[in-house]
Amino acid sequence: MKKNLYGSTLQVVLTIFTFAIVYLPILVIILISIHGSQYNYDSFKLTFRWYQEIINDQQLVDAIIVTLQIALLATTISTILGTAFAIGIHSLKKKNRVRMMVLNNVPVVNPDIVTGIMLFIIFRFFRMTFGFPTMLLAHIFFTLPFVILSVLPKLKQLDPNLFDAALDLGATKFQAIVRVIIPSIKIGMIAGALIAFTMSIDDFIISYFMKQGEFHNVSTLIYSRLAKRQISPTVFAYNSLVVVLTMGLMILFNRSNQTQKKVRG
Amino acid sequence: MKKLIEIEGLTKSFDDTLVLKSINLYIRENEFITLLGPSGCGKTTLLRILAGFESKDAGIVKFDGNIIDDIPPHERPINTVFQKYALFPHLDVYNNIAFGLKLKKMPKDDIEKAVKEALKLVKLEGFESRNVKTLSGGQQQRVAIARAVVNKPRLLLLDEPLAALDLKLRQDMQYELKEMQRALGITFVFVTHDQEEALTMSDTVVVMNQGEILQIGTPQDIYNEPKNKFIASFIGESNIIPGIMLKDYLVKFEGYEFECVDKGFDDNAEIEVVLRPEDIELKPVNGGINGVVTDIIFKGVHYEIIVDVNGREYIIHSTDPQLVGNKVSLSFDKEDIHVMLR
Amino acid sequence: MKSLRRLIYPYIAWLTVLIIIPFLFIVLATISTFHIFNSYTFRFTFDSLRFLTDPIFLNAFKNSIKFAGITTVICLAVGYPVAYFFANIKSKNKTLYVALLIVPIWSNMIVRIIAWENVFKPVSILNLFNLSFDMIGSDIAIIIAMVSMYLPFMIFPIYAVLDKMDHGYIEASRDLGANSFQSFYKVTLPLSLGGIVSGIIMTLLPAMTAFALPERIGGGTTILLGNLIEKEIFRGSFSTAATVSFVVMIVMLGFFMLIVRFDKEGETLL
Ligand SMILES: Nc1ncnc2c1ncn2[C@@H]1O[C@H](COP(=O)(O)OP(=O)(O)OP(=O)(O)O)[C@@H](O)[C@H]1O
Ligand SMILES: [Mg+2]
Repeated sequence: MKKNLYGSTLQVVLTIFTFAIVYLPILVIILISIHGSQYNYDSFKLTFRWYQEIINDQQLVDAIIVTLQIALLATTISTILGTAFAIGIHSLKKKNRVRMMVLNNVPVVNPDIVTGIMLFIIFRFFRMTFGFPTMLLAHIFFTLPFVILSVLPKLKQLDPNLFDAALDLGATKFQAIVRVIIPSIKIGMIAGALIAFTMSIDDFIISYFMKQGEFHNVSTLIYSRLAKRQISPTVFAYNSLVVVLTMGLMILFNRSNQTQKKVRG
Repeated sequence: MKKLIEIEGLTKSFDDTLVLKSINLYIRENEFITLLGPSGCGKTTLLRILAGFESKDAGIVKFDGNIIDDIPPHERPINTVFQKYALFPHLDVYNNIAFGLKLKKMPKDDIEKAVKEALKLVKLEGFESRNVKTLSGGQQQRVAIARAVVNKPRLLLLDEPLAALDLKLRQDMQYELKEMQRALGITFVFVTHDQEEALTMSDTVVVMNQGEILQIGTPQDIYNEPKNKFIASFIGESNIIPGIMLKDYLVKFEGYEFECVDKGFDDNAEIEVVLRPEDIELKPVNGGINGVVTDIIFKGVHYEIIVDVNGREYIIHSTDPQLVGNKVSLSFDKEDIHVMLR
Repeated sequence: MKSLRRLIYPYIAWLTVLIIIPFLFIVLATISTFHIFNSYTFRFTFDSLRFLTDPIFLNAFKNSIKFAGITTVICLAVGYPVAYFFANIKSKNKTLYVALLIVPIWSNMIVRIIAWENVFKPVSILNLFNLSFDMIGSDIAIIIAMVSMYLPFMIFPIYAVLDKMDHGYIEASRDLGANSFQSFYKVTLPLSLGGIVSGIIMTLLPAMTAFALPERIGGGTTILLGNLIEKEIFRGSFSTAATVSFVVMIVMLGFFMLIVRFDKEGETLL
C-alpha cells in the first residue's frame, strides 16, 4: 500500500504538538522546582532546597497523606465492589444491562462540578460532617463506574459456561467467583484499579466540594494557598517527584512487559 | 435395569417461547443415551435443567427416585462436559482436572493419583503442566472429559463434545467415549445433532424437535422404523412416498401393491412409505416401478443415483454405476419397506 | 449466572441515593421554593428560572459555549490524527507512547494550571530564556491551557476504538475498490464515531464547567458556568446554583443520548 506522505507528515507534526502542549506545564513545574529563587528569574540557580523542604511543610505532608489514604482506600473499595457489581450487571439480560450501564455512566459523563454539587447536596441532606468520610465516599462514587467499565468487557470475553462449570465441579457460587471468575478477569480489575487511583489522586473539583475547614487533600490545599497567595515551590517539588516517579514506573513496566513477551516467545 | 433419572411433564419457557413441552423420559443406570435433534430444539436446555443450572417451569425431575429440585448444582452427583468445554483459562491441565477434588478437600496425594488416572484414561499422560489455551481442540475436549469424570459422577452430561473436531478425530473419539463409558460404568447423556454419531454410539436415542420428544428407541428402531416423516428425513436421506395401507402386510404405492412386514394400521389408511437409498437395487426394466436415470454422483464408497419415476425423484445408493438416460426398474425387499402414518 | 443478579441491588440503591435523589433536589430547587440549606418547603415558583435571563448567567453561558466549543474543535482536529497515528504505530513501545500522555494527568491539575498561569505572566520562570508573555485574561491563553488539559481525554477514546478496529475492514473496503481516502471516510471514520462522541463529551463538558482554570488564567474576569456554580453555592445561594447545574445537566443529557445511540453500554468511555 502506498503511504500517504502528506497525511503521515501531518500526523507526526500534530503528535509533536500534542506532546509539546501537554508537557509544557510539566517542564515549567520541574523548572520552578529546581530554581533557587521564588521571585528572581534573571539567572538560573540550581537547587534541591524545595525538595528538602517538603518534609518541613507539615500542612503539605498532611495533605499528601490524606490524598494517598483516600486514593488507596477508594481504589481498594471500588475495585472490590466494582467487580462484584460488574459480575451482577453482566448476568443481566441485554435490556436491563443497558439500563444499568446508562445509570452507571452518569458519573463518568457528568461534569465534575455537577457531581460535586450532587454529592454536596446529599451529604448535606443527611447532615453528614464534611471531611475524610465524605471525601472517601465521593471518591468511591466517581471511581466505581470506571472499574465497572473496565471489568465488564473482560467478563464478556469469558466462556459463558465458566461459572456453571465451576458449580458443576462442586464449587459454591462464592467459590466459583473467587476461584474462577476473578482470576480470569484480573487484567480488567488491575486496569480499573489503576484508572481509579489516577482519577482519585488527580481530582480537585469534587474534593473541593467535600472540603471542611483545614481538612485538605493536595489539590484543595494548593487551591486554598493560591487564594492566599502562599504558593511555595515545595508544591512544585512534590509534583515533580510524582511525575518523575510515575514516568519511571511506566517505562520500567513497559520493559518488564517486553522481556516477558520475549521469554514466552 | 434401575432408573437413574425420571422426567415427567417437564416444561420450560424463556420469556414467552416454549422451549421444552412436557418432556417425559427416563434414563437407566449405565445407559448411553443420546439426545438427537436440530439446532435450537432444546437439548442444551434439558441438560442444564438436569445439571441444576436452569430452573424448570413445571414437571418432575427425579434422581435415584428422589426429586432434586432443591439440590444446587454443586451438590448433584452429576458432571457436565460443556459445549465449548469451558476450561478454566487461568489454570493448567492438572489444576483444571483437580479443581473439583480440591473443593472436596481430598488429600493431596489422592488428588494426584486421581488426576494421573484421569489423564491416562483420556490418553493425555504428561500434559499436567500444559496451559489449556495451547491445547488443540481434541486435547481440550479430553481435558474437559477428564475434569468431569475424575469426580466420579453418577451421571455425565456431554453437550456436543465432538462438534468442534474434524471427522477422523471425531470418529476416534466416538469409539473412545463409548469404551470409556463401559469401563467407568457411568451413565452418559450425550447431545448431538449428528444422526450418524447418535446411531453409532448410543444404547438409546431420543429424537427431539421444537421442544418435544418425537421418538425414543434403540438406534435400530429409530433407523428402521422412524415414527414420522421428520425423523425419517432427519435420520439420513430417505425416499418418502405417499401410499395406502390396503390391509395388514399389504401396501400400495406408485400404482403397485407390495407385500410388507407392517401391520396394525386401519385398512385403507393413508400412509407414507420410507425406502432407504441403500435398500433399493436398480434392475433392467421389468414390470415394477420403472424410471429414468437423471443424474449420477460419485460419493467415494458408492454412487448416488437419481432416478425419475413419473416426476418423483428417487435417491439410490449403489456400488454399480449407471449411465444417465438409462431406463431402470426399482427393486427392494419387503423388509425394507417402512410404513408410517401420514 | 442468573442468581448473580442479586449483586446489583446494592449498586442500584447506591446510585439512587447518590444520583437520582440529588438530581430530583436540583430539579425541585429549580422550579420551586425548595431549598436544602434552610427550608424544605415546596411551592412552585419560577423565580430561580428567572436567573436564566440575568446578564451574569447569559455571559457565563456564552463564555462556556465559546471556550469549550473552540477547545473541543481544536482537540478533535488535533486528537483524531494523533490517535490515528498512535493506533497505526508498528512499534513494540506503542502502549508506552500512549501511556506517556497519561503521565501529565498524574501531575496535579491545579499545579498544571498554575504552571500555565506562570507562562502567561510577564514575570515568570520563562524570563530565564528571555521570554515574557502578558496574556493573562486573554481568550487565547484560556484556550491554550484548556487544550493542554483536555487533549489527552479526546485522544484516549478515539485511540481505543481505532486500535481495536479490525484491519480486515479496511482491507475489505480496499478490495472492493475504495481508494485510501474513501476507505477512511466510508469505513474507518464511521466505525470510530463512538470514540469521537466519547472524546467530545470528555472534552466539552469538563471545559464548559471548569472553574479553577478560567479563574486563574482568565485573571478573575472571565466567568464560565463552573465559576458561577461555585460562587453561588458557597455564597449559600442554593437555588441559583441548582438552576445553573440544571442547565449543565440538560446539556449533559443531550450528549448522553448520543452516547446511548452510538455505544449502548458506554464501552468507549474508558
Ligand atoms: N437463556 C436463554 N434465554 C432465552 N432463550 C434461550 C435461552 N437459552 C436457550 N434459549 C432458547 O431456547 C431454545 C432452545 O435452546 P437450546 O440451547 O436448548 O437448543 P439446543 O438444542 O441445545 O441447540 P444447539 O444444537 O444449537 O446447541 C432456543 O430457541 C434458544 O434460543
Ligand atoms: Mg446446545
